[in-house]
Amino acid sequence: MSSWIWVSDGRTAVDTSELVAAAAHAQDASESLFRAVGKLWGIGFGFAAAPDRFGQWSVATTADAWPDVVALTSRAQALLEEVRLGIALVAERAREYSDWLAQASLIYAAAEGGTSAYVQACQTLDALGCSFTSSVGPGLQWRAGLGLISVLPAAVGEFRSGGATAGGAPARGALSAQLALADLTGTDHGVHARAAQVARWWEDVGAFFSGAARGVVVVAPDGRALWGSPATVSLGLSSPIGPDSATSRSGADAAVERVRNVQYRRDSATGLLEELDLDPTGSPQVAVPQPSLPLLDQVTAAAQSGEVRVATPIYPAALLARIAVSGSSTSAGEVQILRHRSVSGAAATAADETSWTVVVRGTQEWWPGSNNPQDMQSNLEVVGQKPSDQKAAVRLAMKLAGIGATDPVEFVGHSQGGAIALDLAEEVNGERSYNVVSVLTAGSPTGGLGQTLSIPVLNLENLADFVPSLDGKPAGGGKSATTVLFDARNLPGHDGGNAHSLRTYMAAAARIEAEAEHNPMAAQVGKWNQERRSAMGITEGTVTDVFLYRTARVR
Amino acid sequence: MFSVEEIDLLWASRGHLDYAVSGLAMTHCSQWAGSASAAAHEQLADLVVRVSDLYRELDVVGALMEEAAELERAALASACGNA
Repeated sequence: MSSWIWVSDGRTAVDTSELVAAAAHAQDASESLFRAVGKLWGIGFGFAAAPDRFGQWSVATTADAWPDVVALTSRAQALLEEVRLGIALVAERAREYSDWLAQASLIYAAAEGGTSAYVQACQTLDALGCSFTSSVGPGLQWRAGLGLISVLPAAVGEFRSGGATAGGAPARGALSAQLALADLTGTDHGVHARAAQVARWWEDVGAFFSGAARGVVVVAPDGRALWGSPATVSLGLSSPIGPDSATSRSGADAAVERVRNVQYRRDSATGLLEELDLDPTGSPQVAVPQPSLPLLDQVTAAAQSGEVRVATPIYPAALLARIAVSGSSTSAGEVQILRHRSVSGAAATAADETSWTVVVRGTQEWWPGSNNPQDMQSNLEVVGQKPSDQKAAVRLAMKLAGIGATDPVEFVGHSQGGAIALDLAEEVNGERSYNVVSVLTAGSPTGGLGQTLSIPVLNLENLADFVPSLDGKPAGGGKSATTVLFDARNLPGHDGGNAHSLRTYMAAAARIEAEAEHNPMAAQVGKWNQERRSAMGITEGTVTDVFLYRTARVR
Repeated sequence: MFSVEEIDLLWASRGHLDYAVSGLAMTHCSQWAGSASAAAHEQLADLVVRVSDLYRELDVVGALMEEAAELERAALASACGNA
């Protein structure tokens, strides 16, 4: 089972034109097979089809050979049905094969030649009649991707030239990009109505980002809060907020008050792990569950008010599961930080070696400029390689957590979170403010990010997921990055729905781990995890506490 | 029961399978290496084997249909002769 993933450690070298032509030939083959099925449908059903063809059946049935005729005809009919069904199935398989080749050609085109090559490949496929089917699966993603490609440059241009808005005018490009991306990721529920509402608000109020956010606030479980903007935070500056703060910070105070009252929605990491038959560490379930390992979901509420012990995420699937636990809301985001201690005595102490995992969830709000910095604005900013509020929020959370400059730190992020993680890892390692030793991204547009890093980076990309291709560049992460491209269709636990979902990436990570011993590609990922655990000092005896930091934009 | 036209339809459908196999054979990308290529090759091999099997099965169905039609004609001739 070595064919469902492949690993690259840098640029690809594929003749994209050859792949595009192959996709077209496969599509042609599929259509030909469907035509064969159509022809076979023209064959009747023996007795039922032409009872009076000869007008002599009543005579014929008296013949001695008649039972043989009936038996032979029935046999031919039954076999014909089987063959007709078989051809229809293989025609469908050929169409899937064509989609698969087309998708691969687009990814390679984007990886090797950037956005222009990607668009050209799309147009060539279209001209060859090799369109993804209808409005589901790759077809929907393809169309949405084309839409996004057409609007994204304008949107990014607006952000680059005028920040959140261009001269106070509504950022129309951003709105279009938001709609396209929402379609792309299958989270378009209600987005059109919301977009219309946003557009009206723009017109009435003047500008959507009017006021341009005044940075972000981050609130620790113990109530401490910091305020900073992307610019100040990147310089290591931030302002504490609280009763002792002398300066008037009504906006920041209001944001802190707002996030303290937020009710987050959370996904069930435990459920995801159990569905994949994994224990909380990400390891395959053992016959007897380990009672000492707490369930991930049960601790989150408590973690908002202080540290709570959780199972150490030893394997990549459990790392990704932590992302699901991170909360989200329309009015606030959340950064989750795990503190690992390698216990040298009977209990963990401050003197034990400490390492940290910073968990960055993906986009939670699909319009730019929302109160939650995990929004479209941060998406566009990170793709445009601009400082973003979400990156500032993560840095502030790390500061509140008390992460030391030499403590080993790892980042894990899904979607936008992965891009932020890689960008931030490069930034903080470059200025030596933190010691990031490993990064895991899942379904993230990482192109151009983390290029100077020399730490183990693992990028997971589902071939059917368009989001990692949005940057139009090869996956980032520097010279030590390992990028796994996988075909999720046959993954256990894959529901065949949203190719971008965290669940899909967890399923892939779990299967990679399971195949590590006999699949050379998976073994390469296993090596990444060994290096990560070694650098982090994570062993079976490590104890882990979780801290949840609430984040919000300041108005 | 099975008319000549119907049997012709069946043989014509084999032409489409022929064409499909030719098309599939042209999806092999010589410059594509690595495990992604191997994965594509596996899919291709599976498809070609399936289509080839179906091609042979169509042969069997066609022969059965022709045999049934022949037998039917003989039965009719026999019954008419007896009548």
